[in-house]
Amino acid sequence: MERRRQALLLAFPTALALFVFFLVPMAYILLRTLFTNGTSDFTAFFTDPFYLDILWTTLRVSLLSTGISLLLGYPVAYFMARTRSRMKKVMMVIILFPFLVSAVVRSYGWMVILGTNGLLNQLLLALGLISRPLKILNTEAAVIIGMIHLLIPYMVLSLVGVLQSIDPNVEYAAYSLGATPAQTFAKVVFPLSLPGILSGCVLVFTMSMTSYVTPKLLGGSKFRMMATMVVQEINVNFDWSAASAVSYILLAVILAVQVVIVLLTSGYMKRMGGGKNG
Amino acid sequence: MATLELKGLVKRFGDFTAVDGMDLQVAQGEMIALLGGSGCGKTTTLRMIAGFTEPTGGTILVDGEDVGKIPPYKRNIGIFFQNYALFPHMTVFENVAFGLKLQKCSKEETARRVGEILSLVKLTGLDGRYPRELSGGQQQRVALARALVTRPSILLLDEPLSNLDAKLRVEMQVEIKRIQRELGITTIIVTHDHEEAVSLADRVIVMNQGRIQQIGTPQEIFDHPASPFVADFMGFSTFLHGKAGGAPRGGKRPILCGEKTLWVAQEEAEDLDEGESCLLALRSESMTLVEARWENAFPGRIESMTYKGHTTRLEVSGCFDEPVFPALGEIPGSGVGDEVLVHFPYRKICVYKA
Amino acid sequence: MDDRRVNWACRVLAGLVMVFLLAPLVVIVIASFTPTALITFPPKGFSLKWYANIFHASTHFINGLVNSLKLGLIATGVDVFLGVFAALAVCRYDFKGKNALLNYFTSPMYVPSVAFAFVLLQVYSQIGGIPGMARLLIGHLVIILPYIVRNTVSVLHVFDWTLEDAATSLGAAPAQVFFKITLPLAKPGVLAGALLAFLYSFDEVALSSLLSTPKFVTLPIRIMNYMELTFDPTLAAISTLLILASLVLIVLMEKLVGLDMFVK
Repeated sequence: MERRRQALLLAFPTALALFVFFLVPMAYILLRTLFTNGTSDFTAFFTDPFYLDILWTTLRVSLLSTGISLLLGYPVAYFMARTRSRMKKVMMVIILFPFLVSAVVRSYGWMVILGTNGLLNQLLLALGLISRPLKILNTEAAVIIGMIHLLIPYMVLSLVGVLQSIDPNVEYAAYSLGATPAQTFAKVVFPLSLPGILSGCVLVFTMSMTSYVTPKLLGGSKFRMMATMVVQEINVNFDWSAASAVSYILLAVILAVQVVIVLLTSGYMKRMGGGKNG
Repeated sequence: MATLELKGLVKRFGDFTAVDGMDLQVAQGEMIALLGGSGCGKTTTLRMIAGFTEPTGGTILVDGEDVGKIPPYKRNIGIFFQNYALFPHMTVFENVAFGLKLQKCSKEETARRVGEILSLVKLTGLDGRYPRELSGGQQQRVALARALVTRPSILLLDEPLSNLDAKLRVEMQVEIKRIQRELGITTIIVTHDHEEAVSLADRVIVMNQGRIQQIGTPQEIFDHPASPFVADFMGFSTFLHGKAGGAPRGGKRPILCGEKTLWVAQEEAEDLDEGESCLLALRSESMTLVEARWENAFPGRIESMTYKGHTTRLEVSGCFDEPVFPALGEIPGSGVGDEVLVHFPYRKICVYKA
Repeated sequence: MDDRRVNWACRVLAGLVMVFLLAPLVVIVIASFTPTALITFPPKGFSLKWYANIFHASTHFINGLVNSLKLGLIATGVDVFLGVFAALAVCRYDFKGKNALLNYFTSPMYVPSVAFAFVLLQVYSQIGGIPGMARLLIGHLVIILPYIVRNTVSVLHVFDWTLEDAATSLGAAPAQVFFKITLPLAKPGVLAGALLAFLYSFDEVALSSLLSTPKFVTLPIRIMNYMELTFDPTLAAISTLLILASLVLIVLMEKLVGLDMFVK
């Protein structure tokens, strides 16, 4: 039909650009890797404890960061969705502000705070709580702190939309039927916000799985996650087959998470009337 | 100001025929209503006249000229959209001036004509407001002004009153009619509301499944629907099955409804053979309760009563096999369960072959 | 004023999170004015010398800034066109496979940028002769496109298309309809998408780490390189300027489209 032709005409330049610069290179390199090296890179990855440890570290850090971001982000989002005061705008600015600041800059801020001579150690020493500076920077804890700082804004923004779309009268209805605030939350608000929780968690989990700057700057030279590993294999070890195995496994994990979530949510979303994005 | 003619207009979407061979002639300055339920093809017809949808077959003539090849933005047809479709990022003035600016009207000319049309729709002084700052009725007037200011040859109104409350509806009915008369513009209204159609239009076209069911003046359609479908659509409430009786007597023809004989106007039942089954239709407000056993009055029992303000609607069983639904101007003395006599005035009964 | 269901625990936690979010930024700004090379709290005095140091040639910060701006602006500029066309195609028409098309347009989001960077690196090593800026630009064009498409779609998804019909009936040709009606009304989404896309490009490190050549290095890489050699408050100074720029952007976005545009 004519409208379809018009649509395809509009879509064509973008579709072509993505095809040439994205789809073709991705497919070409994957096929080439498989043809020249077979699956040996991948078997090497899964039999080497060094690489498995990196995969496990990446998963652990991502899961912890995602979980803590959710725990911290949910109350913030709930407050923002329900308050009518001017605080909402102030909070929105505070959420968006770090969101718009470069990850390099934010990690630098944490380096200043968490370093051996950093603000935190100076403070604790001055208060007499510790006698020697703590080693926080260049540990997994520092990476998780930096990661949470990076992820909370995304989590909150995902949750606010869903929480705002929950009709407050639904909560009042639960109260009028005798539910306590805790019961109302557990049986009404929380289930209704599940789509937002899921989409927020998937988003931030993906971001932490693939993050590069935070682990590199806050984890130190001995701390490795998948993304930093790829760069290190290429720029330091010049081992391209290892790099390609690591990057395709990372890609596979991300895609697997997406597929699982889509399968999990499609049924739920349909019954709930489509959620926010139809 | 123009005439409009549709010749064998057809629109198919895949297997679905939305408009099925529509023929229509609209005179200059006439106001026509396309009336029908959802999916009857009225909106598709409107979109084809506007040029948004290309017909599968047939022609559309404006002033005798085929406009099929003219793109919608060159047709000079004013449209009033059901949801008003006011541009939310423009003020009232900018909304109304939009078409004039595209016609490259001078600043002074634009300002003058916008001022004129805004005073015609009684919105003077609101030109600086944005649509969201206006009430529903005001938004509607802006939409009307915007459609009219370019002096279109034809005006199309899509469900013009459907979004308004009862009081505003009456007001806008009068208003639209006044403005249309004043400008003498050929107008087509698309609506699913028979009251809207009969109160606004000079002629009403009832559509169903892409076909025209009846064309007539509002009174013809209101009082003598051409088919049971049209009758149902025009708000007839009571339908009775019967068989045609023998010869007419005194301008009336007998119809046998079960054991009972109901007299109808002779001219209504002329083409019925004796014994042929037929369907009778009546409006609620045509029926009355009477005291004595007149001709065409039958006893029944009140099953329910619904008070509706200016009328009281009854459901009465026992007059015939089917229940009947008289609407009374005053509250009857009898209540639910009481026996009453319902009178069916013979001139008000429409007769159809069944 | 406040809803009483938002209890004090929720408020306290929300307050602590706000402090957590602002802490590193505030610390950086304070640190940038410290006179000593070692950052102490509270700073021993006040100095602007680290700001002056930004412009010192050996930092290459200005060169990096110019490169990052060039890259980000070109990539965003091109992608605004591509993204808005794509979003229009998907939203304005109803056809089979439109969801598949939308997924295709946003698919780069699901690919880790470091994996995509490595793919490009291998392609470049085969083709050769691609100048430094183009190496990065191609990557950035792809990875930032989803932001523009998604944000534009989120506006066009609820767009009232009868407005286009209304404008057409008033005599507007298709191009006029687009520029006078559709685009102005889609502007919040396009702007929000363009801003996020530009920032993503401006902050991007993984692609740049693998693909940049010595001749074309972006600001984040310059800052990271500087960090490895000298950990002095010049970093705080340049960071403060970047923080300031973000603040300006927030104010600008609030004025232009409203911050609610970022709520997904």
